[in-house]
Formats: sequence, C-alpha cells, structure tokens
Amino acid sequence: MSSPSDVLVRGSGLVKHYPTREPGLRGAKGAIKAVDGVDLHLARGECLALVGESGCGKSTLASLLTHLEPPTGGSIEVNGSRWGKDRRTDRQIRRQIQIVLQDPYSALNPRMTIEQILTEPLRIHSDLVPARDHSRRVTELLEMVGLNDSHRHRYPHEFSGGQRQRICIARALAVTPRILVCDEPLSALDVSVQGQILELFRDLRERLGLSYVFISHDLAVVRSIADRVAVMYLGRIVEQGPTEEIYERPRHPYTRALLSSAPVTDPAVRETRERIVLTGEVPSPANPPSGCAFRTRCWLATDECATTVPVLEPVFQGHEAACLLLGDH
Amino acid sequence: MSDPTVTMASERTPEPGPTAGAGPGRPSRRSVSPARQMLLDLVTRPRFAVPGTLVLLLAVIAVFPGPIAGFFGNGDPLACDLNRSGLPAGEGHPFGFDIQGCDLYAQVIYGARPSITIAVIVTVTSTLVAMALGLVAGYYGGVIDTILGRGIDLFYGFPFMLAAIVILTALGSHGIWAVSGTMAAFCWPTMTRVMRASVLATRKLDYVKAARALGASDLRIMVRHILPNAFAPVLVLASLTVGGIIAGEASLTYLGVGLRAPSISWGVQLNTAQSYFNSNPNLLIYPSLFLCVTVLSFVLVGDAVRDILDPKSR
Repeated sequence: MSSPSDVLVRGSGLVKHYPTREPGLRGAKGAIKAVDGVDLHLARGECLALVGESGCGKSTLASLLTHLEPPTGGSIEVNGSRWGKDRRTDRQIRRQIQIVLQDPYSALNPRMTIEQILTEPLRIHSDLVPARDHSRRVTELLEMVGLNDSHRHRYPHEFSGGQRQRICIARALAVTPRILVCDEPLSALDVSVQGQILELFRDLRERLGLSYVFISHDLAVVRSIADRVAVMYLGRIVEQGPTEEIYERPRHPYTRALLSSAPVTDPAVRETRERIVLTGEVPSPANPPSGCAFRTRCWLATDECATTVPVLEPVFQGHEAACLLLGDH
Repeated sequence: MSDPTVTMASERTPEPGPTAGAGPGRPSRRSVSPARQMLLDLVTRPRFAVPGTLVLLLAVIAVFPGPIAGFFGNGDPLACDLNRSGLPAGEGHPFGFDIQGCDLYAQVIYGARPSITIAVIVTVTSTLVAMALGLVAGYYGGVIDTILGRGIDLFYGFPFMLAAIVILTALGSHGIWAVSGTMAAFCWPTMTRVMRASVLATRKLDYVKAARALGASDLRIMVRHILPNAFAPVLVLASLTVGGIIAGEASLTYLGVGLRAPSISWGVQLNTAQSYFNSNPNLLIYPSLFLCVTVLSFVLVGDAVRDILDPKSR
C-alpha cells in the first residue's frame, strides 16, 4: 500500500444511483445502480486501468472522478482536496484532473477553430497563463500532441479521428493537469491510429509525469499501458492488482472469463489455453442479483453466493479479489 | 419540418483532412468556417438566389419606397384627387387609381413597408425570446422547464386568429407596435419548443461535457457551445415564419383589427377593394399579387435555408 502523500486520487465508498420510476402515478420507484460501492486510489505517476463489459459503470466512474456528476454517496479526494466542497476548491481540482472522452467526433465544438478550442481553457482559468502568451501556449500544446502549428485556424471537421483525439488531449492538457481520466479514448479510432494515440499517451506520461485512469475494454491495450488493473462488474470492482499479476494469475471467475475472451494471435497458445464462455446476459443494474452479483453467470456459484456479498480480500501483494470461493480454486 | 436534432450530424461527414504533421511544402490556407461554408452553399443555389433576390428587392422597397414609387413619375401615395376615383391605368399610372383617387402603384409600393416591418419585428423578437427561454429551459430543465412548458401549452390552447382579434379589439390601438406585439405573443411558443428540443440534443454532446470538465461556467457553456450549435432549427423556423406573419398581418388588417386607414398597407387596400371588386378588380389584384409574391419569396427562402441545414437533403 502506498503512503498517503503518494496517493493522487482517492475515492471512498463511491455510489451513483440514477433514480427510475415506472410509468403511472403509483409507479414503483427504483434506481439504476451504475456504481455501487467503489473504493479506489491512484498513485502519483501510476496508470490504473478500469476494465469490464459495457454497462458495468466504468464511464459513470469516470464522470464521478472528474465531477461531471455528483456521486449519490461517497467522496473523492484529488491531491488532498475533496470534490464538491466549494466552488473555489472545485475550480482548483479541475486544473488537476481532466478527462479525455471516447468519441473525438462529438468532443469538439464544430463551430470553433482549433485555436479557439485550445484557448478556452486558458480563458476559463485566466490566472494560469497571461493573455499575451495564449498564442504561444497554443503552439506549445499543439506540438506536445504532435500536431502542426499551422492547423490552429482550422475547424474540427477538417481533421481525421486520430487528429481530433490529439486536439482533445491538447485541450485537456491546457490547464496542466496531473491526472488524465481517459474514457475509452481509443475505441472510436482505427486500429492503426489507436497505436499512435497510445504511443502519445505513453510519451506524455513520461514527459509530463501524468497519472492516468485509463478506461478500456481492449485487454491488450490495457496490458501494454497499465501498471494496475481494476476489473468492474455491475458497478463494483471485483478484482484489482498489478497488471501482470492479474493477467497471469486472475483469481476472480469473472476476470478469468474476461481474459479468456480476448483473441490470441499465437496459434500454439490458442490451442491450449483455457476458454471460458459465459452464458446469459449481464443482469440489469436496476435489479442486481442478491449476494455476489456475478453468481447468475458463474459456473462455480454455490448457495452461499446468493446470500453473502463478497468483499475485496487481499490474495497477493496488492492483488485483491472479491469472491467467496477464492480458497477453492 | 424535418427533425431538428439531426441538423448537426452534417459535421460528421468524413472529409479528407490534412495529415498529421503536414509536410512543409503545404500552403497554409485559412479555413472556411462551417457557417460560412453553408452561407456560400446557400447563395449559389438557384432555389435560394431567386426568392432571395426578391426578398432583397422587397426590403429595398420597404426601406426606400419613395424613389421606387416615383419610378413612373407619380410617387406620392397621398396625392389623391377624387376626380380620378377608380380610373383605369393610364400614362404614368400603371396600376390605375383607387376609390380615393390615389395612384394605386404608389399605394402598393408604400404598402410593403408596414407588412415587412411587422414581419421583421415579430420574427426577431420571438426568435430572441425563444432562444433565451429555450436555452434556459433546455439547459437547466427541472422546475423552470416544467413551468415554461405548461405556459407554452396555455398559449397553444388559444386559436391564434380569435385571440388576436380579441386582444387587438381590447387594446383599441391599431398601430404597428400593437399588431406586432399581439402577433409576437403567439409566435414565440412554437419557436421556444423547437429551441428547447434542440438544446436538449446539444447539451448531451461530448464537447459540452469537456467544457464542464474544464470548469466553464453555465453562461459560457450556453453562449459559446450550446447556442451556436442549437439555433439552426430555430433559424429555419424563423425564416419560414416571416411569410406567415405577413399573411397574418394582412388578414388581421383585412378583418379590421390590424392597421387602419390612413395607414397604407396591403391589408387595408384589400379591405377597401372587396366592395369594388366588380367595378375595379385592379384594386384587389395588384395588392394581392404583391402580397402573394412577398409571402412566397419568404417561404421559399425559408425552405432553402432548411434544405441547406438538413444534411439528409444535400
């Protein structure tokens, strides 16, 4: 466990419920439990990957970390300051943690030039860079993400997906954050472009000392960039630990199934590897199963799994898993 | 009207963009903004250019009626001589004379001003009101949205003509401002709804999220990000509304609750002409011809604007 000063982001007991209501005056009230009790921490300079199926709450967690939405419960501290305390604190935290969104096609205002897009953060945080240096700063940002300065007067529609994602990254970097939350930043891009952007993330991390919360469902990408992996299922973290440890020795049945679903290029390995195919659908987060949320699709589930909620338990150095049957397999 | 929410999809059409780190030999051209590109597309279309020219001509007539009315030498609409009442067209008087013995051509030309003035006042005020209210309602939602929504429902409950007649009769004033105010009161609700729907669609886009993550204020997000990307459908509706307002104003005036003599307007002229149609059909034909062409031009301009903003019709 890292010492408190090394922890840049700490989320405790995070819960996000979206209220729902059946139609009609007496419609039953319920809630979609998008994030349902998550504790996580991010160390300085670390890259933490969040993996899991669609709808498991990864993106909601990203919104909570960047305070795009307030949590229903729990709190998040960024570098010692708590989100939502007051406006001034929030403003300061915004400079430390920024988000890169999934779809670069909708993440840039089509009516603004690149220069306007990159100058806006500097205008919002006007004490960051004096106005006369804005132009120079834009040049700097463009170079930082590998774009040509001559692009500054162009509009987003003139760029390819990869270039737009570079612009999005430059915009996030404009306020000199320490942390980037990347919400599936590669999944809208072509495979060849994915590699370039991934390389950019690596490069920026080295040059600027950034820490990442990297959300992805591409397990190969995660393995190549992440120091630590947290696997989510139905709004909870079911297993987390150092990347190699998780990939080599997954303990939670869901992680094992997830990893075995990734395509393998080596034919020799393909013949021999364990292949677990899950049956059934992900249960609705509005009405998750009792006990362990994964039990409805787990091939190992016992009666106990229906009654007891498993908590994360340490299995190895920094490696934790939430399964009642850890000792049995 | 086509679905306003799809308008922005036009920005997504993949275009061959410059490659990363473009080569040194590349001439650095200044880019054309999407809005300017649209304007260019619009002006070069015959379907816009023809009615657009007519609208421009009508605007010139409305602003400078004098020289145009005087084209045939008798430009004063109030130089009337009862001796010439109802005389047919003659030298220097191409449309003939009305019942008061005034030159009909000059009257019709001067009649454009109130119609177009009212149309512009009504359209501009309702568009501004709709943008402001739609922006606030769509962005904040919740209680504000509900109250505004029910208020708009209330306005939908009145039949427009009936309500306008009642209000104008009650007001007792028949000037341009009274007529414009009454029409604007029934014009903004539809536009506000369209604006609100468009804001709702824009608000969820990622660039709004990104701006919020950067710490942009609500005002900045609304003015810089949502408004420029959400007002296109309202613009279309506004340009289509102009024609309707001109026709509506003429109807109200014809019914006797809008502008009244001695104001010069097409509605007033039509109102007078109805009694003399058998003996002097030109009194009815010329003002209605101008009215029709004006309404048609504005509607066609609105149509062209809608087409250009709707990616599906490109």
